[in-house]
Amino acid sequence: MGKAQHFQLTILSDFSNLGAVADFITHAAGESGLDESASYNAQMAVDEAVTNVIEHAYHGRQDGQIFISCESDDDEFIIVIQDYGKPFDFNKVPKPRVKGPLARRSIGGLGVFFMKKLMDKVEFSSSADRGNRVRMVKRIR
Amino acid sequence: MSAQTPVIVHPQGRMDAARAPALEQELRQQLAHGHHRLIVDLSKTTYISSNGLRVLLAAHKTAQQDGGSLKLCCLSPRLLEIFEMAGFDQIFEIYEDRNAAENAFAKVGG
Repeated sequence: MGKAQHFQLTILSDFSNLGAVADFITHAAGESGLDESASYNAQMAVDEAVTNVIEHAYHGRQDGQIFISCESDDDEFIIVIQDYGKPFDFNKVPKPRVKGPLARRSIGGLGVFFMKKLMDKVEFSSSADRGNRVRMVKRIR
Repeated sequence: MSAQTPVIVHPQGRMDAARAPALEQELRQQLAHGHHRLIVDLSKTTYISSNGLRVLLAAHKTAQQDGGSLKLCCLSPRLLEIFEMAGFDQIFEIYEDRNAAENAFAKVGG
């Protein structure tokens, strides 16, 4: 209680690292006081975010670096995901159609949809020289 | 047995972007062999990402085009929450256990 905490993980842009990312987030979230449900939601949001980075910023290349950091205080658990792949505008990702019959469902954009649903705040920034950055916040309690 | 008998697929662990392709391959193989009545038992699936959901959706669409369907069973409350969030509970038939899913196929003349 009351202690600021900081956790960091750097991975290469390979899908086989997603399990390690999930373990890292679950550990950091638990240490930061998130309950099991909030922790599960945070690991899912990060899984979707890192998957997007591998697919859209690094286009499946497996040697790109992805930096993940978590910070927490009494009120918030903050996750920042940084990459130096191709600039990618998350705000232009189309919204998926999550209602209606099967034939009319569009599935693109579901990852970003989940990130926004599962976290309290999601911010994207991107530039040619600074890469892509996703900042997500989950309130504690 | 015949293509009428539902085939059960039982993915285990995390169904993320690393593991979804294996599930996709398995479902595609079943469909290619004429098994268009599929039950995906998620009792051992601890997590499913949008990639995993996409795989299930694509297989369901193909199965339906062939006159069958893909039904789901044994979701944990957490998985069910994810399905509901994406509105997937509206497009998949979701059953509590395998028997219920099998019975659902039997009822429609399977």
